Amino acid sequence: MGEVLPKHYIIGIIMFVFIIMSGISLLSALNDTDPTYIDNTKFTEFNDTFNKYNEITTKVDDLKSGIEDAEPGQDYGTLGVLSALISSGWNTLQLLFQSFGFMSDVFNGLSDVFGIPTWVPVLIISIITVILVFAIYGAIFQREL
Amino acid sequence: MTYNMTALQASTTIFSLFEYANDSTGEILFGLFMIGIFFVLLLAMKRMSFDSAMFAASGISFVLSAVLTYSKLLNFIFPLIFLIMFALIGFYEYTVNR
Repeated sequence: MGEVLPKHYIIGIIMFVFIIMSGISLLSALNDTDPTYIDNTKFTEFNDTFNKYNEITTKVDDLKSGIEDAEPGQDYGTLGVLSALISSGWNTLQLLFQSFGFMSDVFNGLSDVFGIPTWVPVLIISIITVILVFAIYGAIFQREL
Repeated sequence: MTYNMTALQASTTIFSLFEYANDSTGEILFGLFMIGIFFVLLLAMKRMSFDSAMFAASGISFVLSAVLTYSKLLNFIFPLIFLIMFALIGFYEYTVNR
């Protein structure tokens, strides 16, 4: 049993959503062949309580845009050189997400080519986004987060 | 009161026999079967750690109970309970017990 870091907690939540989504997909597949299968109020309550797919994907996108939209200050007088260095370092870190756009397209292509449900690549992309975001914060705060 | 246990004319298949047994016990027969299967799976995987065995056992039990619910032998609450168990243990595995 290792040390629990914020990154692992968020990845755990994504895995939780992943399992719930796969379970609901299986039940829905059975329901397609027999529409009376999910004829239960318990399922509706369950879906409302546990199906947090949209919330988690939105929140992970917010984490990502927190990094992408942040710009270090430009003019600090005598500290201008330092500011420029920070800016160029920051741009390098932001490049991580631009290069990840390529992998994001590859994962989304999975669903088009092989008919994999959309939520599978989206959740995989969310996990990679979380890993990258916490790697960047780890670089800034000089400790593993 | 005695029961004629050999009066099986109404049951022509194994499935209808189980269906009858399940109906006569107020639909708890397969419920208890599923609970039994869950614990048997848990013990069968004792070579793994307890958490991993719980994770695997609840996952397999979820799929089995979903299929049994589809054949109207089990209450719909069973697959939901196993799914919640599966997901919570998955959360624990990926958070604490990596």
